[in-house]
Amino acid sequence: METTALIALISTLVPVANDVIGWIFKAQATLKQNAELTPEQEAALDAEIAKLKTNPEEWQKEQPI
Amino acid sequence: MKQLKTIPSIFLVLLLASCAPILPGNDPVVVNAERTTQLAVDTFNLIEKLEYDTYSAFKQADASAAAQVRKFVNNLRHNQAEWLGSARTLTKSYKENRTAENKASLDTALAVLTSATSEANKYIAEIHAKGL
Repeated sequence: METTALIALISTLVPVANDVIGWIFKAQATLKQNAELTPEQEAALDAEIAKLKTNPEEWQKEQPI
Repeated sequence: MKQLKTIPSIFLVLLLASCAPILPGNDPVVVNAERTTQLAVDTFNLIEKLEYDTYSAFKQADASAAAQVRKFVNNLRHNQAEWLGSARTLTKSYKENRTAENKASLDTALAVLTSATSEANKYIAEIHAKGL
């Protein structure tokens, strides 16, 4: 069975949050990366990392215990 | 079904996806570095969001465990920009000058990311095991 279809099937059986499903698909794509990133892909990754410093989301900020 | 509910998501990825062979003409060191960095970014985002969204419920279920996870994730939140930025800087340095020394520095930065990613996955599984 094709991997994507299998993940879709499993996701109906395993009650996981949408965030996790999204992570699974993204992680699968990352693991299948078989060449160096293009300049555009590099820029996107660097922008994502830079945003952590300049404009993090609320859940990316330190939280009180 | 209960057993299925507790299968950590990371295992699904491991079962269903393996690292693709690298295309000819591409440096495996660079490809691995970029994969590791992207995976770290995504995993850190996931654990931070999960922890943020489930903290109250987790704290009610197990205050001690919730505090432990929060401590780890706060450490991630505090250090991730530096760790990820360092990995990217060293990847670019290596691409410009592919020496053994630059590779060693890059490997050190990637080891930090790999360790943090691995521990994040452990806590993701722990949160799911609580049914959160």
